Amino acid sequence: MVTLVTSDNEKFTADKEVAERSVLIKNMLEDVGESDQPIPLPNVSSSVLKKVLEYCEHHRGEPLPAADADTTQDDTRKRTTDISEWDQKFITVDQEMLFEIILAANYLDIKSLLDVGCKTVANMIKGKTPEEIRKLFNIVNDFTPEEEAQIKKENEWAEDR
Amino acid sequence: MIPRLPLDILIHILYQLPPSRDTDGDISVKTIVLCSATDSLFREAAILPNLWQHHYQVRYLHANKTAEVQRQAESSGNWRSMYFARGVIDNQHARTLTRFLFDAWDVLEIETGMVDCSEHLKVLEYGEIPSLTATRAYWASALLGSISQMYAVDIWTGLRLGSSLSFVEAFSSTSCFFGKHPDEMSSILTDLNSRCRSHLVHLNVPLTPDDPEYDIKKLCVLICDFMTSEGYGPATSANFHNLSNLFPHSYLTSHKRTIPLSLVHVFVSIARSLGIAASAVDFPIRVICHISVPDDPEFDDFYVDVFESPPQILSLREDIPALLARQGIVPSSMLHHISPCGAAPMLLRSARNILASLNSLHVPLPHHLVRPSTILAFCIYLILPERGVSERIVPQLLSQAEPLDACTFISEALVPCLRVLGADKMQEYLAKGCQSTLEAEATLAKGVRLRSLEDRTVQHFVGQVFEHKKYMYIGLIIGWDVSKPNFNHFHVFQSFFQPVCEASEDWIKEMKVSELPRGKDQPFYSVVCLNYPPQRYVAEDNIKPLLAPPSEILVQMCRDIDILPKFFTGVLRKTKLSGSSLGPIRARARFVLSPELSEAYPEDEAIGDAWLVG
Repeated sequence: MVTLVTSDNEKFTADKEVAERSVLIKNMLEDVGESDQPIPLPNVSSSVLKKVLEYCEHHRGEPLPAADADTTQDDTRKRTTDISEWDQKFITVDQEMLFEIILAANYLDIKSLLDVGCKTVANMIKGKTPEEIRKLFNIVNDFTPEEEAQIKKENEWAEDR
Repeated sequence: MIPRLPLDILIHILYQLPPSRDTDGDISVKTIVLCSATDSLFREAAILPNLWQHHYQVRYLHANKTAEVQRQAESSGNWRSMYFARGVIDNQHARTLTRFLFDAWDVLEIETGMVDCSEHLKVLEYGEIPSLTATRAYWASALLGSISQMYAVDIWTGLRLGSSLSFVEAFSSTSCFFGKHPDEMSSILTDLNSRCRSHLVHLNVPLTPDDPEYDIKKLCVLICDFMTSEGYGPATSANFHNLSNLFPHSYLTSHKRTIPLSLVHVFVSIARSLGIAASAVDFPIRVICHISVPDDPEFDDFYVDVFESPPQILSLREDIPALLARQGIVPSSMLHHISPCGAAPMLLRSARNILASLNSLHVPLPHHLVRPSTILAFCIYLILPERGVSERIVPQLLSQAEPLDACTFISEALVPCLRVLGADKMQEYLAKGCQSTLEAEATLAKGVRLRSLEDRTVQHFVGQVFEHKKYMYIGLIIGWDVSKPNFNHFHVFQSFFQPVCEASEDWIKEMKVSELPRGKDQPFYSVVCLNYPPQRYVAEDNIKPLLAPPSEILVQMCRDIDILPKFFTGVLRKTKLSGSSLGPIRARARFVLSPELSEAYPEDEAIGDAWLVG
């Protein structure tokens, strides 16, 4: 068993096999060797870690992607916006949680979960206007008026498609 | 509070938008473009050249080589800049497609005119090198066809959207599906109109309603007489269902004894040019003409039955109700059948006529008309649907479409037209179908078949003339398959009016493949032949090479198989004198592969040559 400590100081225990779906945790465990010491995860809150462990539990035993696989190359081959039924249900969460899960998956290095999250977001932004996308991502338009005009001109060809 | 996502995750998200050559791909690209306009971090992700590489390589499979090299140089290999450049070009093409294309007409027409159409591929003696003329002419004329088809689809879409396109013009454009420029029909009709006018002037017939002697009924009869003197008239019942009777370019020239609708087309054109308000009427028995009599309450509108010989004037109050009553139509529902109608019902009626003629057993089917007329009929059904049209039309249309049709007028004109008309489901269905046609073609074009790589000997070669052992017809090999016989692909040619997607297993069963000595475990050949259907799929067991194909058969093949120049550039014959000079002269022959086919079958040309001299 592995003990994980979240940013809000909550302790979680998980099977080694489950926790090691995170490449980050796997590497840490390899580094410290046999030890009962809890692993601190200062970037992950308890509510998010709970979800992440639920995901890892469901997918335990599945083969992990090769560590040195070039991610972008790998993506081209199997990139689809299809998500399995269980994952679909799993990822049906509010938007804040969705983004937190993506950040956690990125930090913990769980590629399949990162993909599921990013696919979901990709599906969300399809057909949205820039203003709607800004809202979704909690970002503000930081272009100068000149830059904005330039971008608009550059993108003109795509408008009437 | 929504957390901000870092750059690498934004990039990862954009990578999840899949590239493809359809509307989904367009949505992906558009989404990425819009993301680049949200804020500077997202912009950094969205302009990543690597991200655009996939989209570019999936969407743009073809390019003008020089232009592509130049694009690469100008954008220093930045895939996004290259995609943007192509996007701009796409838009220019889309906006001015028709105009551009008609500009290309002359050069294409000259290309097609470079060969004498009566000769087609040439039969040459071994050692001569066939020119590419016939093959180039084939493609040029195929492009001409696509261009005029786009035009027709375009104006019929306008018709559906309420533009005031005349029946005469809309109907003339059915000939666009046979590679005829729309101007060609209108010039024949204009010429006819002016000859009729001179004829009437010569007879001193008053042509203006102000003239006290003006008699509109008499005028109509005189127009009919003029048409008769020009050779127009009713088709004999034996020839009624001849496909050629249905299309303006043939009934205005060679098939003037034709069906009612065609005669009405000619009549309305002449009458309108003389200021008579003539319209076609979708009458149950046959199409007739409605003549509106202006500003005279004393006279009713009347009808002309142009097909009757001699042509009949029918009165609104007596003749018409009597005729309808005989058809069991009660006066209360009469109005629908007797009102002057626009172009759309007539186009639909023509589509029905086409299908009736295609299925008619009374007259022999002119093979070269089957493909274009089927496509024409289904296009009419798609653009001007009568009460809900079945989706089955789409596979039927595509089964007759050449890959060139799929990438030109179907995807560039028909699909956008259905989008404009709001036929979303049909449009999507057609776009998908088109895409798979093109994908299949792309796979086919990519596949290079090398005999050395096959674990089985392929006995015959592309370009060989053979006799079918069982059905005895003479055919010509245009391709072969060893490892994975493609039954589905050629199945569509087997059963003309059946759904395309029937399991290939059915074909195998139907064709009794298992009864052959080697069953389905043998090379299969794609072939063309003089019989209908012209493209077939044959097991090696059924192929008997013709050692000396009679030259009249070769000439007939060159003349009657219209797609032949697509595959071959000519025929080579090698004459062998038998021992005594009195013996019969035997000449082996083979067809010479077109550049495309020779790329797909790089060894077959040499094998064919060896066979020729051997």
